Amino acid sequence: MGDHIIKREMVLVPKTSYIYRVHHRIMEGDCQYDHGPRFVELDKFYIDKYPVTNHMFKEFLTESGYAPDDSTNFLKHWDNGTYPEGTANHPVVWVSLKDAQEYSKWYGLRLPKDTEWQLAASGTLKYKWPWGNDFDEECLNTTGEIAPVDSHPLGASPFGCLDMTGNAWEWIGDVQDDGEHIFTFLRGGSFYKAPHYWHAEGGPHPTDFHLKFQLLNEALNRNATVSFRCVKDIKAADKGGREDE
Amino acid sequence: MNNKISNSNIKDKIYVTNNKMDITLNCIDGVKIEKWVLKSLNFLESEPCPDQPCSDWEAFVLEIDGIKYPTSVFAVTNIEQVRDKTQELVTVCLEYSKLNMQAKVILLNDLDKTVNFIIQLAVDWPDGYPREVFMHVPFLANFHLQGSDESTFYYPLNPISRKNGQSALSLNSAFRMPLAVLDNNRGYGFSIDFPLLTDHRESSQNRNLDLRDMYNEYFLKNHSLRLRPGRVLTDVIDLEFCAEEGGWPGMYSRLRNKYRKTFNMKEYERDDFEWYKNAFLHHFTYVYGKEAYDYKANKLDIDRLLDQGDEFGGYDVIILWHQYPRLGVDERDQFDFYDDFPGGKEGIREIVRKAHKRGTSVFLPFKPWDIPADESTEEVGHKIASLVRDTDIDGFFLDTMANLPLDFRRLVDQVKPGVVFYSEGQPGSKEVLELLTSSWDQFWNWGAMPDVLHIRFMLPEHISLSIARWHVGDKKDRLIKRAVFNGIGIVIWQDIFGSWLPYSPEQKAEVKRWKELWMENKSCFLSKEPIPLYPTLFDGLYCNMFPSDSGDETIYILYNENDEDVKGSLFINHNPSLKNVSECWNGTKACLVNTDKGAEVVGEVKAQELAIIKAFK
Repeated sequence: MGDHIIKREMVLVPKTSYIYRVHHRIMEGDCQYDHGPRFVELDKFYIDKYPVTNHMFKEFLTESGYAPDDSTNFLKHWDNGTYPEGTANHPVVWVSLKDAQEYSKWYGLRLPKDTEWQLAASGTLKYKWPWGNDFDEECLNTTGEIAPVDSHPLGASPFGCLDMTGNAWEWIGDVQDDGEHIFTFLRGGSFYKAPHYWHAEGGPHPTDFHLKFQLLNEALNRNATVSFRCVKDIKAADKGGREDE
Repeated sequence: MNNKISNSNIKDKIYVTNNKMDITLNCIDGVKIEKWVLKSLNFLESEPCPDQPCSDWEAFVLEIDGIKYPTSVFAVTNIEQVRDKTQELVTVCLEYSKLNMQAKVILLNDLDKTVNFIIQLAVDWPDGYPREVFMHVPFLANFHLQGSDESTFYYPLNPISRKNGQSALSLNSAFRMPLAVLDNNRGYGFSIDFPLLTDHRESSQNRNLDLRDMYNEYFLKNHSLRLRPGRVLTDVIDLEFCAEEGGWPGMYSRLRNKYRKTFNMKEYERDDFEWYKNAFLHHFTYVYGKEAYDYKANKLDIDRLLDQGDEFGGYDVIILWHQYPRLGVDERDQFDFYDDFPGGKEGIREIVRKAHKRGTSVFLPFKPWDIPADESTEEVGHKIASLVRDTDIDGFFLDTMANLPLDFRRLVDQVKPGVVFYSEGQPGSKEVLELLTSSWDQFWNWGAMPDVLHIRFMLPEHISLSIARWHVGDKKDRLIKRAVFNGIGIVIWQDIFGSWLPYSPEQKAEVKRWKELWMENKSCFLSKEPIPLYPTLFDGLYCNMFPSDSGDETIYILYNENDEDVKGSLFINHNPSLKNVSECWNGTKACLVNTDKGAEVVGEVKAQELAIIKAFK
């Protein structure tokens, strides 16, 4: 990958509708959310081609001066305010949902909804994996370590999104409150796969899988495997153009 | 046929006697049990009726390739009857030369009230390749009490049934039950235990494992034990006959005493564990929910949680749970998660301090599945001990691990006295039970009333707490009933990893009422000699009895499984010195009426409801 620094690029996901159905492994406690199948209609939107990288997040910190109220585990892998050498293009991790939301807000963006992320990953033909229906080791990170976000160009989704499975989980912006609990979802799976049946299920995951993530304090909301990518709404005036069928 | 070989040692009949039994073996034509009686009472167990065929009393019948071989085909080659200071041994040696088979029928008499009936078998297969042999013991299959107007069989896996035929006693492999037949009125009879030190069915030639899994008459009558005998004589079965005199309660007490003699009770007798006897109500505190967590303040609201607990009568223990199902998203392990608990370990210590102020103890979970495979129990034990040092907690919940490594116990003891370990699974072996002094009575969805927890009565010092996490609605009522019926506490668990299944106000009040009653009658509920399924005078009416060790009072907890109320004489008061009774759960009337059977307790129990009757001086 050389010394290049990846900059934000966004891809267009045209306005469309699809039958949304998401799965998750049913562990104890269930997932109090409408998993479909249901018909969803989505306006066109832009979504990051790559997850937010360490470099992008550092730029954000410099530009915004953002400092979380509770900094426990915030960018835990960084040292002296910067990321380790050679990791500029790695997806930024050890950021909470709140950190990710603050980042998005600063740039006039937001985090994707579950329905949007799934569409961006699977396309209108609803591929099981971003690149197609068959698992393919060439298309994703299987090294067991986090990797640069552009490592697997063959893994591009139908809309051109990269690194959507098997490298770092991604935050979803839908925060659910069932009256007793506050939770959201993680998408895509990660390089890390914990060994036991009772552990949360890591490794790569298909486009129609999400992991329920129960929110608590920031120390636990930040993880070594969770990153994010952003979505940009298209203003009403810009909403012309071809609709994808 | 008479296959007796001429030998001066060989007699036609062999007589064995001890304090309680007379036994006669007939060796005229094979080996038959001619008589097996309770001595002083002339109360017969296995004596052939005139119209019963002799084969009913055969010591054994073998089946090989579909052909049956009773003992009458064997030649009796030797009989030995010897005695030392504590035992008498009778050995009848048998031989069937056509198949190169040898057998021994052995009686081992303790000279008091027990006789072991042992069969050994060997075959020298002509081609050297063992074949399957099936054995049936007619003497065992036809076991019954003659001269008894009414007797009851108690099967090892189903001693006393509910109406649906399933065992009302929820058994535990550390305290296996015998087969027994007891006279209903006089309480006399025999039990047959199956002593065996293996847990693996196919690994031993001894088929006691098959027999001790017997659960109904059909099995008893039709048993066919699969053997694979070799050249050396080895045990095939070992049946320990014991004379019983006190009916079901007497037999249960005798068994408990027998088991307890083998137990090291040191952990249960520790002064620093005394506090835990009062830890009646536990709360499973799932931290990822508003029941416990204040999302605005970003911390666990311990005072609010304990205030809520007052509606149940007050939580004695809370278990702070924040790892599963979150563990595994990244490499942090359970101990890292304690660092990241809201407020860190200092935050836990603060919760403990506040809880202690309000008389509540705090437990943390240990996840046996979240430790590196190359880490020793000593290394993990050090981590656990450090956690106790850092947080001042009072105990550990061991999650799916139904045992306790000695290192954990030893290292934690070095940090703080009185730290309790307890498990989700009920331990099923003596070795674990000696160290692990408490566990959950977790019955998932299979628990129906009446369901009696065998371990609670066999080892009452082992503290059990009822829990069925997914029970809702009237099933929660059943959970409460089960705890009451067994005389034990409850784990209140309303937030099951994100599923909110609360108790209703009425259910909370019921738990509170139970806790108050339990606390008032601790001398009965913490006693050493409780009896499960104490006999009652109604079908479908079940009773657990909790006599205080002082003998001053007894609590009887009754459950009426019938669809109709029962009214009248419910059971016989076991202790004649207790002259008064009162019903203390529903407020109904109860009284004692003296009859020729004893002091009958008269009262009523509503259909599918409980009643609690206290007898006192």
